[in-house]
Amino acid sequence: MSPTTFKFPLAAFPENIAELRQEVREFLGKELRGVPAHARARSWSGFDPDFSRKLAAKGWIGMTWPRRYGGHERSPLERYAVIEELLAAGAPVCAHWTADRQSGPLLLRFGTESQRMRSLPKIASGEIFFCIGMSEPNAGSDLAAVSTRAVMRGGRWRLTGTKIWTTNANRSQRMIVLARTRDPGQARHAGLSQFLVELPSPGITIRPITDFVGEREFNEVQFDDAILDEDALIGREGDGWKQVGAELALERSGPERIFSSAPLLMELMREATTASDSSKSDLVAKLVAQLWILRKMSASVARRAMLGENPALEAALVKDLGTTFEQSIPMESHALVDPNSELLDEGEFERTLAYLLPFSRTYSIRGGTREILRGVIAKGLDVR
Amino acid sequence: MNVESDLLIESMARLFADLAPSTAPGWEEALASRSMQLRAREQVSTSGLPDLLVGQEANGFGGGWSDAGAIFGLAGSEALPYPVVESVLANGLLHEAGLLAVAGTTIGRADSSQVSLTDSTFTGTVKAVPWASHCEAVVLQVGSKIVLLRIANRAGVVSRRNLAGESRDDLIFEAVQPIAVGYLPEGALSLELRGAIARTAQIAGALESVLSMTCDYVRTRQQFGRPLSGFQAIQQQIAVLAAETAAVGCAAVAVGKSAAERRSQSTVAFEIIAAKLRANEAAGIAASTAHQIHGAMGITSEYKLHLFTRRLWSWRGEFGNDAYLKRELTGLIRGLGADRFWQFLTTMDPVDFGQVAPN
Repeated sequence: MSPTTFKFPLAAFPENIAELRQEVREFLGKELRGVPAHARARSWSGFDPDFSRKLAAKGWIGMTWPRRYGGHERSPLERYAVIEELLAAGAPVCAHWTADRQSGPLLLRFGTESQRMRSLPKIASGEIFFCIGMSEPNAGSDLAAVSTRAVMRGGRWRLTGTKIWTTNANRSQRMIVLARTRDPGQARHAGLSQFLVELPSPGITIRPITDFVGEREFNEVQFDDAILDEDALIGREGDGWKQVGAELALERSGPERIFSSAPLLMELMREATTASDSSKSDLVAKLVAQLWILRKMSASVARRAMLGENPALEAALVKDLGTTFEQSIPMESHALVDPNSELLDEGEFERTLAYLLPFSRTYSIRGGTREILRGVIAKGLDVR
Repeated sequence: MNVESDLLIESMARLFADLAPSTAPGWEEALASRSMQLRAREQVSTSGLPDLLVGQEANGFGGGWSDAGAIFGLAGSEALPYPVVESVLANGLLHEAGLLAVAGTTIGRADSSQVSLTDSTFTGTVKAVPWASHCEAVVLQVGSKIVLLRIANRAGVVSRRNLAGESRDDLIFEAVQPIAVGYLPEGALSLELRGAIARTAQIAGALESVLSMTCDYVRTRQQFGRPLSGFQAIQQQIAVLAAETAAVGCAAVAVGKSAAERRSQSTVAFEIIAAKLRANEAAGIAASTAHQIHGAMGITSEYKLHLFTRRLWSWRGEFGNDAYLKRELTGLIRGLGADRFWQFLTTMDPVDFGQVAPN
């Protein structure tokens, strides 16, 4: 007998979950009324500060955090269900997304009391948004190659270097920067630290980069001896790599690795239920079977993390399967489009596809490329 | 699962390891040998396994679908060349229809347009009955009726085999009197869905074995002066195999739980069909990937990989091929309407009614 290699115990949701989902659905039914599918498809890339503030007023940002930091002390599986509802509906959650998902939890875990008090309540009320400065011109998947430097001079940290592909740097009030505080020496991962940086600040130049679908969410961020707050270091000096690892685990296997193309799947389903031939419904059936099990796998990882386990291998598996699923929705839908239609000016199915077909290529790049993740999976099986 | 289930699963793991031939050629022998088949039936029957899904009031084990799924998975991971899974399904179905089992009973899928059942006789052809030539009787579902028929000389047996060499025989009945006829209670799982649960679990088990064999192989096989496991191209393929294995493993457990709880008929059917469809997809991807990684070794008859991959290909078509499952799933979705689908999907999530929110 071969023992079961992977641990995906089924997650059971708290008993109030149906009412909570219903409450979110009613809220979204009102807030997103009339928003077409091609706009909903922006989902967690859709930046809408007003929407984020309304969500905060409902108590759905910082849901699991302690009340003294503006949180609501709900269970991680309640948060999971709310996130699922938001993404399934294609709600524009981008503005608060990074802070809610990872920067807030990072500060809760490693931040000083003053860092927490200054940021968490404002995140939870939808007042401030975060971005994350990890990638650099010469450090993408190879994050240990980071060369932005932080030096302590006169009791203050000073930052010099360039970050790139920083999502939302042009419209956030805080940035978490990974920088080198010491030379790497033998271990390349040593000597990195994380900093909490206020935006905008003197010595920091932010230049938006237009992406190939015409959006300007990417940025190049340059630090020219920028002087940081006294209390800018997050966690311990030199522990940056370890802290980033814990942070990345939070962003690997959530519903956002499954639902990024959900509005197109809904459009496809609508078309399939009225179409005369079976090609669209065959595709729907295949995708729905994948979605059915992916949700269970993702919720299982969320529950294990809630119990304090470290399901790194399972999280990588969910991200690999999930992003493949999200990408296959536009890819395979494209094969079924009427040959006489131009995607950009037809119905909602086509217009949503026109957005997602190119944009979905980012799914298997953001948050760790597919190749890196598959390396993580192989290592987890002792194939190295 | 409780302690009793754990003990059962442990003892079945020992039994199955004992039943599995030690070398690849042993499989051919077991599939062809009447005496080996009878000996295996004896051993399995002594263990009480065929009555796993039979209630304790009828001297069965009183197990549920979660136990059954785990045991079917074990059978799949050993690629057992005996009708172990089918005997559990047959006796469980007979029990639910209030009928007594006959030793050596299998299950078959009767196409209602090909058979007719009157008050006293059964006529028609039942195709590709698993292990029929090694069994004494077959259980069929005709509408809501459960029919137990002897596989006698009188019944024509047309011997056929699946890709793995397991017998899948056509049975021709002409005005045969059934051993017994009963009714499947309202809300009970159909024979078709029971078979789909079993094949999904067997695929999950076989995938576990394929993954573990393949990882072992790449760690030991050396090329260009180092183990294959050191090549990124191989690591990427191993990850693909792992992901498919993980998905079906999770699907098999989920379906066992769903069938055990049976919260509503439409959700159970949906989950079983979705699981089998996903398992079918994984079977295809995993078999191709494992063979590619193994190179020529994988197509060598003495090496065991093909025992699993040929079963994966066979099981992919049995109790629901892709075309059939997609039609069924689409039918359910059309019935709901696209706008109600998301809500339907979330109602299937397990809920812990004893769980207290942390605040």
